[in-house]
Formats: sequence, C-alpha cells, structure tokens
Amino acid sequence: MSAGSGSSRRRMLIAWAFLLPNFIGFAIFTAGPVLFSLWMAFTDWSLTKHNELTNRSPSFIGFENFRRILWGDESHFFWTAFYNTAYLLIGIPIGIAGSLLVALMLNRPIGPQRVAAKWKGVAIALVVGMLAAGSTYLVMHPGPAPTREAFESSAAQIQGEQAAQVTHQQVLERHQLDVRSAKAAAMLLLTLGVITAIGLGGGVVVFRTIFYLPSLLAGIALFLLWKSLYKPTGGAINELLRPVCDWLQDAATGTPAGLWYGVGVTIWIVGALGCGWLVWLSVRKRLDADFGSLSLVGSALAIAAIAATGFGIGYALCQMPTRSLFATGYATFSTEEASSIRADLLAGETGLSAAEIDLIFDTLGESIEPRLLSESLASSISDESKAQLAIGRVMARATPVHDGFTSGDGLQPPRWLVDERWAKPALILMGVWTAVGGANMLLFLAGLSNVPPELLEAAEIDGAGTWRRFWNVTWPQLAPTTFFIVIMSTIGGLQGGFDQARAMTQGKYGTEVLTYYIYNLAFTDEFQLGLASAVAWAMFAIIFAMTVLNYGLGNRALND
Amino acid sequence: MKVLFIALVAIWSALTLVGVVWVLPERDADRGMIAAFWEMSDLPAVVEMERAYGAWHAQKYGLQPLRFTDLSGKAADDAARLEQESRFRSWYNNSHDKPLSSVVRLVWATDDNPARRQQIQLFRRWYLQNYGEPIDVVTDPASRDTREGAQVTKPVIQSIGGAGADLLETYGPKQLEAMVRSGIALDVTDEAKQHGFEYQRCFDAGWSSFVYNGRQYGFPANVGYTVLFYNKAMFEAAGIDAPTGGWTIDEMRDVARRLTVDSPDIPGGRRWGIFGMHPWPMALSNGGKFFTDDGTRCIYNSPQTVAAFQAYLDLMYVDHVMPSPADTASMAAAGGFTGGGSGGLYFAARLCAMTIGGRWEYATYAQTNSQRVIEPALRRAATDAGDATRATINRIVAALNRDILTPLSDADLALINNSLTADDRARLLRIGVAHVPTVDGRIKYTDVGARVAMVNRKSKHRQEALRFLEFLASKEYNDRINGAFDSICGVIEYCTDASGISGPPQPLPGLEDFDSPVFVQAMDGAESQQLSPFIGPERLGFLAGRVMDQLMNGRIGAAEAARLIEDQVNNQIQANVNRDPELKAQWDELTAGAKR
Repeated sequence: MSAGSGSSRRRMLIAWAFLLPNFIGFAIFTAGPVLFSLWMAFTDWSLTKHNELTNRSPSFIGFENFRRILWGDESHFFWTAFYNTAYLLIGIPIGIAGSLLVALMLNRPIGPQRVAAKWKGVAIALVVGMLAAGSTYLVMHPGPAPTREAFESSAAQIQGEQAAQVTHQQVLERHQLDVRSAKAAAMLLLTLGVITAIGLGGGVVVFRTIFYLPSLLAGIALFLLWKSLYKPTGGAINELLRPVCDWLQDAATGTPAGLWYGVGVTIWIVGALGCGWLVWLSVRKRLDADFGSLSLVGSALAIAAIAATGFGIGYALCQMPTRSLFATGYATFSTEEASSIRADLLAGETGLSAAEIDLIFDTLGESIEPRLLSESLASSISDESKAQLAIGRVMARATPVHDGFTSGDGLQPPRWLVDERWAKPALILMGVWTAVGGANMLLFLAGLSNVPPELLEAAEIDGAGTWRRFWNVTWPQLAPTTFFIVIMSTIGGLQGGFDQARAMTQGKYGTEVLTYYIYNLAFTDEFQLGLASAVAWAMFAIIFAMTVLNYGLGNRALND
Repeated sequence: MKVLFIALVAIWSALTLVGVVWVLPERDADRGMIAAFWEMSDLPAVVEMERAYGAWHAQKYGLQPLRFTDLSGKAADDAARLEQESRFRSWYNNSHDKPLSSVVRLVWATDDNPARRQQIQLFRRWYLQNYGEPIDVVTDPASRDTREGAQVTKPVIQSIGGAGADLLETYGPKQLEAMVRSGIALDVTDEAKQHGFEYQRCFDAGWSSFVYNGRQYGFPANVGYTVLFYNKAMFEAAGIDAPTGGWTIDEMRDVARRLTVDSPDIPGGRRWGIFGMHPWPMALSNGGKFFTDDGTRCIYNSPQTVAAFQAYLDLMYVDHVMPSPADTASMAAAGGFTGGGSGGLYFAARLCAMTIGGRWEYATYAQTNSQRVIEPALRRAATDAGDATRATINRIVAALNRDILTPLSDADLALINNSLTADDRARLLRIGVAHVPTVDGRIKYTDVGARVAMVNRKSKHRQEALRFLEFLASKEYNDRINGAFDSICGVIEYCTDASGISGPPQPLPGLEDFDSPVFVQAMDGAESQQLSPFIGPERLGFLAGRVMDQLMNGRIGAAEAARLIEDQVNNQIQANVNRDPELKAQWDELTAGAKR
C-alpha cells in the first residue's frame, strides 16, 4: 500500500512538474490579466488621469461603464462597432461553403492516373503555359525605350503647354511600367502553366497545398497585397471590373429602365423566397429534432448572407437606370437652381433666344436632371457651338454626386477601401479568399475521409444520384465537423477584424470592429482602460451567449 | 534521451556564449564620443588629453599616434582611424575613473535620420565644450508615436510604466496636453530661466506646443509650418508667373488647372496641379473657429468653415486639379514613386506641380536630384577626368550616398556644377516656395508648428536631459537645423541673418528658395490650435476625423460636414460634462460667466 502510494505520489509530482510551468504561465499571463480586466471594467481608470505620476487612483463606479456602452453616451459607438463586427460575420458561411466545396473537389484524384498520361499532361501544360506567356509578353511589350531624340521629335509635334509638361524621364518611367506589366502578365501565365503541370504530375496533394498557401502567409503581407489589389485606379480588381462596368453602362443606357427594375425586384423576391425556404427548413428540422449540421447560428448567418447578397444585387440593378448611372453623375437641380440657371443663360452670351431657352425648360419641366438638360440642349439647338456653350454653363453649376457606384464619371468600379459602402465587403471578400483554403478545408477533408464508403455505396445501389448522396449521406455525416467549424468561426469572427482594419483602413469607412473599438478606447482615446475593459467583457458576454445558444441547440440536435 | 538533453543544453550554452561575447558589448557604441574628442581638439582639456594619449601611445607602440585633427578628417571606416579608435578606447578606459561604456547615455525618442545623427554628434561636442565631459545620446524611433499627429500612445504607456525614453518628442498642443495631463512631461520653467532656454526666445506661434497654462514643458527642436512648394520648370514651361505674397484659392485653382495634365506617358495618367490641401487648416485659415474662447462650445459650423470645405471639394470633384483620397490611394505605387502618400514624394516624382510640405522635404528633393541627375553627371565627368579629380568625384558621390545632407566645400560644389550639362540642369527638380493659398488670400497658418523635446519626469538622467534642452537653444544647434533643412530653428535670434535663413551658403543644385522668407513669414502669421478642456484631443480627432473622411470622399457636402462635426463635438462635451463633476463645475462657472 505504502509502496503504491509512494509511486502514485511520485507520478503525481512528475505530472505537476510538467504541468506547473504551463500553469504558472497561464496564471500570470492569461488568467491574471483576464481577472484584472474584470476589476478594471468596474472602475473609471483612465491611464492619463490615474497613474503613479499624477498620484491619482481610479475609483470603483459599479456598472456605470456598462451602462455607458449599452445605452449611455458611448452606446452609439459600441453598437456601431458591434454592427460592423456582425456585418463582417456574413463572410463566415460563404467561407465555410467555399471550404466545403474545395474539400469536396480535393477529396478525389485529380487529373490522369496513368503515369504516361500524367507526363503527357505535364508536358502539354508546360508548353501551353510557355506559349501563352511568350506570346503575351510579345504582344504587351511596348518596344524599345524612346530615346531623348525620339521623345523631343514627338513632343515637337504637340503644340501648347501640354508639350512641355511631360518630361523624358516620365516617358521612360511609363515605359518601364509597361515593360513590368508585360513581364508580370507573362510570369502569371507561366506560373499558371507550371502549377497546372505540377498539379497534374503530383496529383491532389499539390492542389491542397496551393489552396492552403494563403493561410501560411503572414497577415500583414496578405493585407498589403490585397490593399494593392483594391486600389481604385490601377488595382488589379478594378482594372478587371472596368470593362464590365463600361459594358453595364452601355447596356443600362441602351435598354428600358423597367427591365432593370423588373430584374432587380425579381431578385429581391427570389432572395426573399429563398430565405423563407431556409427559415422554414431550419424550423422544420428543429421541430423534427433533425437539425443535422445546420446549427442555429450557422443557419442564421447563411440566411443573412443570402439575404444581403440578394438585396445588394437587386438594389444595384434597380439603381442602374437611375441617377447613379448618369454619364456625368450629377445631382438633380432644384426648381430654384433651374430658374437661376435659366436667368444665367438669358443674361449670358450663349446666343440663344429667350424663346429657345423657355422652350427647353418647358419641355423638361421644373425639376431637371443636368444630363437630360444638356442632352436636350444639344438636340434642340442647331448651332453646335451655341449648344456647347450653353451646356458648359449648365454643367458648371451642377453638383457632382458620389452615390452608389458613381464617382462623377459614370458607372465606375467600387472605391473599395476608401468608401464606406465597400470597405466592409472588401474585407469580407479578402477573408473568404483566405478562409476557403484554410484550416476549415483541412477539417472538411478530414471529415470527408471519415464518411463510411459503404453508406455511399449503399445509396448508389439504391439509385441515389450525386446530389442525393451528398445531401442525404455526406452532409449529415459531416455534421460534427460543420458544427465545430461554425462554432470556432463565429467566435473568431466576433473577436477578429482588428488586424485587417488596422493595416488596410485604419478603422475608417465603417470598419471599426469591436476589437478595434477596444484598442481605440484603451490606447488612443485618453487611455480609458476601464471603459475598454467593459467593452471587452460585453464582447465576451455576447460571444459566450451565442456559443452557448449554438452549442446547446446544435449539440442537442447532433446527439439526438 | 540523455544525449538529446545534453545536446540541447550544449546548443543553448553555445548560443548564450555567442550572444555574450559578440552581441552584448556593442563595441561601436562609444565611437561617437571618441569622435567628439577628436573633433574638439582645440579645447584645452582635449589638448591635454591628446598629449597624455600620445605619451602612452609612444611608450606602448614606440611611435606617436596620428593627430586628433587628422583622425577626425578620415572616413569612419578608414583602417587607420579604426585602429586609433581601438587604442584610444583602451587608453581612455584605463586612465579614467569612468570608462566610456559607463558614460551617461540619453535615450531620445525621435526618428533616426541623417539630420538627427548630425545633431547628436553636435550635442556630444557641445557637451564636451560646455560641461567638460563626454556624453552620449541614442535615438529610439520605436518609442515614438506620431500617427495622425494626435496620438502619443507609446510614449505615454512606456513612460508611465517606467520604460520611457529620457527625452520625449511631441508635435503640437494636442500631444503636449496628453503628456502634461499624464504627468509625464517635466515642468522645466525654472530651469529654463536659469539656463537661458526660456520659451520667450522662440516664435510665438510655437509656444502652444510646449507651454501649457503658463508653464514650460520642453523646448522646440525645430518649428515651422507647411508651405507651398512648386516646380519652377513646370511654371516656366506653362508661362505662369511665380506666386508671391498671399493668394487666394481661386487664383491657385486657375494655376492648377493650367498645370494639370492628362497623358498616358505620365505614370497614373495624370499630373495633378496641386496636392495636399486639407480642409482642416483651410477652414481655420479662413477664420472658422473650432471652439468659443472659453472652450465650452464648438462653433465650427460657420459660413467660413463651409466656404473652405466647399473650396476644398471643388478642387477635387469640380475642377479635378487635386487628387481625391481614392486617387491618392491609387497613386501609392504609380511608376517612379513607391511611397505611401507623402506629397513630397509625389512632387519629387513630378506627379504634381505644387504640393503642401515642410522645409524638411528639401532632403527628399536633394536625394531625388542627386540620384537622378547629379550622380550620373559626376560619374560621366569622372570617365574623362584625371586620377585626382576622379578620386574627388568618388569621394563626393560616396558622401552624398552616405548622407545627402553632408555639407560640401565650395570646391566640391563647383565640381558638381561644372559636371552638369544644360540637359542635366533641365532635368533638375527646381523648387520654388510660396505661401499656402487661403480662401480670402490672407497669409494665415494654423497647423502644427513645432517638434518639441521634453524631459521624462521618470528619467534617471534628468540633469543631463535638461542640458540637452539647453543645447537645443544654442546657436550651434539652431544653425545646424537651418543648414540641414530640418524645418527652421525655433530660436528667433538665430533663425535669420542678413542673407535670409541661416544655414549653408549653397545647397545642392536645384534646391532653390531654401532660404525663402516665406518660411519665417509663415511663423509670423500663424495662430495656435484651439483646444477645449471639456473634450480630449483624441476623441475630438476621432469625431471630426470620421466626418472629414466622408467629406473628403465626397459622401457628404460642406454644410453637412460642418454641422455634423459641431453637433457631435457639442454632444460629446455635454456627455463629458454630465459625467465628470469637476468638469461640470468648471463648465457651469464658465457658462454662467458668459450668461452674465
């Protein structure tokens, strides 16, 4: 007995010896600060007011900080930050769905399996890649750099101030930029060819690795990369979108407005019906205690994502024929403004008679869109120079608008990180790109490997098609994995967003999430440590409540 | 298992040993102090030191060492100099009670740049001359936090935690207030009077950056406002006269229109007429006040503010002569430019014809001219030159590459000028300086006006740190500031001489107008920033900044922006007053007084 007891004590001591360093570290660096912050949340501690140098101590103020953030003078900022955080959560179901899709694609062999066919595929991919890269480089290359003599010769042909404004140095820099663009395009195509070749040779493991690469990149590097991609002019994304916008602009102005309204409203209706169906499905599954992997929060987020996307697309389509698509993007004149301009035209030297001007205004009515007015002027006045003069005078009085997509120059790609409407979607898009091939994909791959093949075989024998097999066998089997991913992603989503906002927008344009708000309060805005701690604990309460809700409902359904 | 354990311990020990032997001693740390001895070889104490060192050297090595004056003229990596440094260090540490490694080393939370390194070396010499003993200063850029000009996060947290630098740096009244209210800034009023660095010696416009409630909390390392730089070549090519005196936004807009050029040959497609106008100073310079005189209420929503905001919007969205924030975000990596938003860099890359910037931008412009024009011209000249001239050219190029602010001799400058062809001169970035235009054309400056050094109350070297402030008031330092284009010096009496701003007689070619009277006139016409005791500067910046972002992006109009800022700031003032009994009492007293 004593020997056994000694041995047990010895084992216990050894166990403690191993555990203690971690336990001490946890107590000092995690548990201690957490409890300390709880105390801080009930004080008015502001570091600039209460510190050793000012010789003042913080006071206990009870729940005052919580009152301030929940319904007091700070509530507006708190709830705005909460809204921003919740908005960014829309990306979670999209990312999860993307991860599942990628996992399904990468869960089976890719490319030819026979060795000879593999090599053939590799060779073809390499050759195609090299040919595409070479031809692109040749097409895009601007040729030799212009010499000073050639530059001066061409500059001499341009008259006026413009000729002297562009220097040879700038022409050379532009040339270098074009050469770099040609090289970059060629390298991109070559890289795609090489990746395809490696993928065909190495199989699915190569593609899994490639999809996982974004997760290995350091956050800040990723953010800077995307910041560059999001540049309003010259950024890769907008350069791709620009022709699409031009096409849309032409299409919108060349088709009846009712068509766009109709399509937009239809999308709203379809989106609403889709969301309703999902709600009904979720409720029915809940009632049947057959919730599957659709946890409550996951369902809600998926519905929110679909609703937001549908609403956004519908809204955009309805906006197409309206003022946001005007070629000039100018606001409507008020009646007073129109009268003033009319008087201005009458008083000026446009050469138009009063009757002509009155006719134009009578035709257009009292509230006039500048673009329509200018078009009317152009069509009503036979003398082109007079018409141009009148248009110039009118447009000089017009106010440019920056509503929806426009920047005053017709339909433009979004201004992403410097626009309140687009900054959050930009962060969501980047987050989805990162998340699709990340840890979630690996978890789904692991989950898919655990789906018993005999179940799939049985379903196939029973005549189930691909979709049926997925929906009735694979998807339910993935329930524990999906549940875990939803829980962890929701927690991560509520806690996250700080790094992106800090690096890409400095918390501007509606990207100040809860964590950023905490940072601002604690470290920039008078160092309000007490208030910041209260926000942190409120955030903890929200996360905890959502997790408990999710876990309680989802887990019960899973266990059932 | 045992083998693994022993191997791990062995590796850990070896790494520790490497660290202790090679990393920790910081062998180069005292080189600046040794150089100061050599550079001050005329001082009687140093003359005596050189004699003693010479005797020791002769005895130990059997020959006399090189003269201190000769050593100070050698390059830092010269083998003979390095050898003498090592021997001198050995002699000094053995013959003095306090070795060089234990000399007081002040930590200055400032940026590390060539100008700063020159100033530090100057301080070592000045200290030796005035206090007869060596001292060292090191910069600590990581402890400096000037993001958006309103936050001093790192200095506050580090200083309260006892890990702050000895000498802290702030910009403007907002940061001063944060440092004073935190109790970090040392009140130096009495010492300033005693040692002659009192604030009255400085430009009035800079006082609000280091004087708080009548007490002095530091001394300006430099002062100065952002003025308007213009590209002389572009003005001449367009046949536009150089702006003189005060001018209106409308006048500037006409000029900017003529200088805005769209061309596929320009990286980004457009060269902008003007860059860097900001609605905040535009409104204040137009007479828009932020607070009432007692600070109890925000009165920003005024016709003056709205007019200035509208003028700002028009520049971007009506006249298209100034880039919007979206355009600026797009310009960040346009060809020929890789910076992140500095007007000086855009200007140097000729992506704008005019920009708002400080005198310190001359370092950037000098660098641009040196790299693009002067160095290639010198290298071209070197190919046809004799050995002696080639060596001189190589020395000049090396000096410019090492430190663009290195003062060059008249002979070196003549050599540079002779190397430049007419074509080279046409490619030089030639700088003109003018006043920042205002809505009504009056000369008026309102933005931050001083970079201030202050002493950390928790500094262990308070006495030496105070002497550093004394050094900032010295003629040597102030001349150096002007000479290195580090804005302009804060002490009025040293700022100008008969030829204009004191400094080097000739800078590198292209840097014209470096001593323009505009820089000093800006100080004369400047007003301090307004603050209110009822709202913290950070919260103020946060509230106003959000609205300003919307305004600058054209999301809201001028009138709405002014109204929103005023409403939000007044709401915050009310919330602060209602929450804090002390503030409420103060507010009640002031508002009651106003009512009476």
